[in-house]
Amino acid sequence: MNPTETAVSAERPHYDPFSFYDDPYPIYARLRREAPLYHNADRDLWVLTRFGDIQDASRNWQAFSSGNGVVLDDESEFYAPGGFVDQDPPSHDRLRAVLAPYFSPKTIKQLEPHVRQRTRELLAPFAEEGHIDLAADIARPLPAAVICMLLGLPTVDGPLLGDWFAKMLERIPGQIEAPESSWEANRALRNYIAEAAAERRREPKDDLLTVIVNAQRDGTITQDEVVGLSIFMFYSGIITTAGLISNSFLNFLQFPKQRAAMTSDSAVIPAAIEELLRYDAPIQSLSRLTPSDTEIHGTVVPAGSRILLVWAAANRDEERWPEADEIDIFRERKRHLAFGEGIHYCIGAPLARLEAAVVFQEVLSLMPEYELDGDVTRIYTPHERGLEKLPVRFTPSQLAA
Amino acid sequence: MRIVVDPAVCQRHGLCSFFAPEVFNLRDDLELEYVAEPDLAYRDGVEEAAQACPTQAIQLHDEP
Repeated sequence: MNPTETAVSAERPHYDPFSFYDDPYPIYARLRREAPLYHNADRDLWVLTRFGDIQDASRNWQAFSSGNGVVLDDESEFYAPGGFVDQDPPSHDRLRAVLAPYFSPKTIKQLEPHVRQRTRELLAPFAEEGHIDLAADIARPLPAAVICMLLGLPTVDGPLLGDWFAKMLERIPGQIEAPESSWEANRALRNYIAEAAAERRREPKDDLLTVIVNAQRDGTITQDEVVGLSIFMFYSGIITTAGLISNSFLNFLQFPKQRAAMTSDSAVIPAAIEELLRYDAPIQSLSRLTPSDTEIHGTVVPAGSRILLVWAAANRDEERWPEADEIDIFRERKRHLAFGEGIHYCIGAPLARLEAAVVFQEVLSLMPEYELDGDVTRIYTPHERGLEKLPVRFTPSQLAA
Repeated sequence: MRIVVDPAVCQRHGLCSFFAPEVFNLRDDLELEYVAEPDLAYRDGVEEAAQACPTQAIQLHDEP
């Protein structure tokens, strides 16, 4: 037996969501096996990693409350008040109901031609170049363009909005507080949204900002919540799908046969998207608070404790998925937790699925094969997993055999 | 066992069809079909579906 390995595995596992892991999956696996209810004493943070435990917790909003926040850093301040991910009923239901009708699968399906056109417009300048940054040039700009279109924010403001979005992701490694640059961008975005909302009050349009403004007029939400809810939609509508798309294009490099199967038969893409979400969730974790003493695996988690639900760890649970560390788009279809579960199940899931499906089809048809052409850069926030940069090169279309 | 799905509350997320595919079916045209009085054999799956529903649109009633 290798003595080094023995020494390492004899130690108790250590996990800190503020340590930035290029590959967090080995520590998730150790927690699932060795410490299914893990306690990080330094941060007084409890952590769940097994599928069953997280599924149970996410279905029980009374015992695992979201009302005191679900992120470990300052992020939710960016969209407070008005974001509903960090609310319990009835507040959660009241805010979610404003947007829910516009995110039903049926409504979202109608966006497909628009999503495809935007995707082609974004890809066109690169088709003959033979190189593209799949994170910066498509994974983030496409959902950003779509969410701006839904909110009714003009295309011409895209670069400005994109810049604020990028700044809101800036973090000082290991630090809970977001840097001043993030706050500055958030204030600018708040002012921008407040002005756009004032315009909609004067002159309503056929967009979701008008829907949100009308909800204030009806007395459903407050004026502050108009801005918060809009920013929540903007922020979470981009970070999530951008992560799914960028992670997937990176992961394809390790699983080229899976990519080839998607290229040759686009009918497998919907199932592939679920597998890609399972394999590498863009939102790795969110937390809850226990309002009262809660026993888990024989240990009492005291009232008022913060507990992290690591969706991405649950999705690699070997008890549920054989060879969970492999991408297999043809594996038996089983629910994963990348979109969460219960009342907080991702409202934007249908939009994320649509955007990812269109991008995979369009990009893989342009470049069935591609290879890395520079350094890959990750975003380093405690909950999200996605890429800032994924430069690749490919054979330009007019030269393709 | 009797199931009532409130069509005004249901957002067609389709989670129910994962938990009880014999009872719930989200069709390709995104209308939800379900068996209103399913066999008791599917009780566990239906309970799972009701719990998992993001909008809590599924109600279960036990016949006396």
